[in-house]
Amino acid sequence: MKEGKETLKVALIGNPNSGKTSIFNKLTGLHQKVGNFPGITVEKKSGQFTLDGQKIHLVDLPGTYSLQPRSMDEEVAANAVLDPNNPDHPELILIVVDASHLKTSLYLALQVLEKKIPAILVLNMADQLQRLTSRLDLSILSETLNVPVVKTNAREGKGLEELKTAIAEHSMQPSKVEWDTKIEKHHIIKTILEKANGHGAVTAHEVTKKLDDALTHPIFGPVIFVALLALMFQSIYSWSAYPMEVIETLFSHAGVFFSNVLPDSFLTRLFVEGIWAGLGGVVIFIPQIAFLFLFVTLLEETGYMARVSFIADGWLRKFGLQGRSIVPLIGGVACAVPAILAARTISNKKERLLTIMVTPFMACAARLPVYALLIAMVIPAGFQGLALLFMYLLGIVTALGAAFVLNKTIKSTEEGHFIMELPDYRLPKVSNVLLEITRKVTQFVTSAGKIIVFVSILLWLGASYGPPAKFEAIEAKYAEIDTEQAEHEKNAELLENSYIGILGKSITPVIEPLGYDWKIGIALITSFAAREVFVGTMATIYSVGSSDEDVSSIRDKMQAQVNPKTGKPLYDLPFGLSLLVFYAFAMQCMSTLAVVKTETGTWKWPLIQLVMMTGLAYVTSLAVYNLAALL
Amino acid sequence: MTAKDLVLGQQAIVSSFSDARLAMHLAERGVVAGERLCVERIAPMGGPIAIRVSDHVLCLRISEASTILVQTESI
Repeated sequence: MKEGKETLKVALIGNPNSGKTSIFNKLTGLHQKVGNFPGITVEKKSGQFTLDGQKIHLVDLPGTYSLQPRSMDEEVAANAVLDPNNPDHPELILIVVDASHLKTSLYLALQVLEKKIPAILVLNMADQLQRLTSRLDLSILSETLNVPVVKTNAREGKGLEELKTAIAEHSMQPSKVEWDTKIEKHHIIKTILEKANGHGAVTAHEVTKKLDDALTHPIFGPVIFVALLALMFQSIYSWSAYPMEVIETLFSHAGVFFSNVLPDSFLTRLFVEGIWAGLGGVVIFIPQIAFLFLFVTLLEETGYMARVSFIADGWLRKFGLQGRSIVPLIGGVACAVPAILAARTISNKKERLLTIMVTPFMACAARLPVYALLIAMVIPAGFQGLALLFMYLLGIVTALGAAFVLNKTIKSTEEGHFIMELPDYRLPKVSNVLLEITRKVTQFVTSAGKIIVFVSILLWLGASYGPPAKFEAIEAKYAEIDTEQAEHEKNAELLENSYIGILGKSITPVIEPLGYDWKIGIALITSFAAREVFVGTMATIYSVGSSDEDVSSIRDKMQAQVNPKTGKPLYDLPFGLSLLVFYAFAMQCMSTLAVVKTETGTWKWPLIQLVMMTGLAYVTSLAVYNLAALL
Repeated sequence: MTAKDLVLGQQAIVSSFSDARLAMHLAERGVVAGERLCVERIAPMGGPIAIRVSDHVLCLRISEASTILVQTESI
């Protein structure tokens, strides 16, 4: 290890699925953070650990096959290695070599060793192939490449102490081996492997072959996939029902408790009616989001997602997308932001752009609360699950349709490449999955939570205050009367004349044809920060508008609203359907627009997305409302 | 003949490539002249094929497979 006190910069590099991230997790434990590589939105995982008093900063570079990059992910890894001025340029590099894919892994290893950065070769093995690689002579491998070699099984936590020792004892000298550049790397690798008595050729795992016979079958494959998706959504819905009920009860009881205990003041009301009510709207959806991420991570970790990409490529190509678009599209069911980032693995520019453009149509987790509320309100009990499934299908169909249209309008001459590995199936490591879920939920909740709490405060202020003259007049008008009925009317009139009521009313002419009143107008305005704000907004509006401290849910409150003109429920079926469709199509997510801008490098695409999606939402909602009203 | 002409389960030896840029990326994945490959799976709807080559299974589109010139072993 180097002398001195300053931090040692170490990086992990390796093929995707080489076990790099397991090694990273084991070395850094929970002392890791996720950020972005400067200037671009490629996710950067870095962490700290201490070794013999020496602070070590470890960066997990994105998985790559070579230093000649094709995708943005690979470019980040290549730049860090090639450019000594890059902030992530390592002083010591850990090259993770997958023991079951020696030939391909060593190809990258040789490229990295050529760059003369001090290195350690980490031979990481998937457990099922231990027998095969145990014959490999590590000392010959180490001698031939002139680099320390450490054998690990990161999933089981083996060999990590040895790796730490190797880091601590490293001479900080790069490999001195020079290769004849005229000879192809593959011949060099062959020679090395022959010398070390190991060989790259591995026959497929029997289990993998058997599974693939079914899972990549031209007919059964897609059927199994759709069945799995249906099961997944059904489970998300039913499994999260109980924890959601618990959270809901806890939040409303705590709200009542706070308003009883705390002195009746501006701050108390701001806290209970503004912040707490808004926060409840975020926390309640953690169970659903966690289960969703659980499934997505499992599909990815087991290697099944690669099979889905394989069988889907033929279908998706007809829409201008490709097999790997399935990962962003399915990921879009959780959140479009990480899903759009996942499109980076698509090397063809046009296929990648189309994937980015249509992914926000997928029914994301932020729409789920809105769907759940509206479906519970207007769809009869027996059909609610079906209605939710329909909303998801609507998202998929619209995404494909939009891709088809965009594919015809955007010109490109670049040939689409689709070179992808089908890895052996493996059992997911529980700790890796849990860490991933925790990371994603925290990321989602903190980013969404900040916006929601902020918007909740603004909303509460906007709903509680209005032009002073108007407010005083209303107060005076009701000063003499002291019945419960009058109290309700007064509150409603105050809300209608509050700043937010004025704003909501100002857009009423535009949204009235869709069946929305000014209260929905307020929710639509605030939803442009993030869709899930809708529920919080309705909660704030109705908790502000009602005088009693009952704990009935926002759904019951909205259902109880009566249209003063007709005497029928204010929020009826045509209204519900129209709003469902609006939320399915409209672009109402600032974070997504921001990510699309950074990923495409221009405001052109997010603006097109905004106009395309919101325009479609307006037209279809208008049609749906009028058709449903006729029935 | 090229890799796209192989039938399911057929083996062949890679002889050369007709697209230099693609050849470089295929080399990273272990597809080089002299390697043996075998068609393991064919996806529906004119989708990709999966070939076993070097030490893993790779998916390639038909258009990509057609840039890999191969020699079959029989006769």
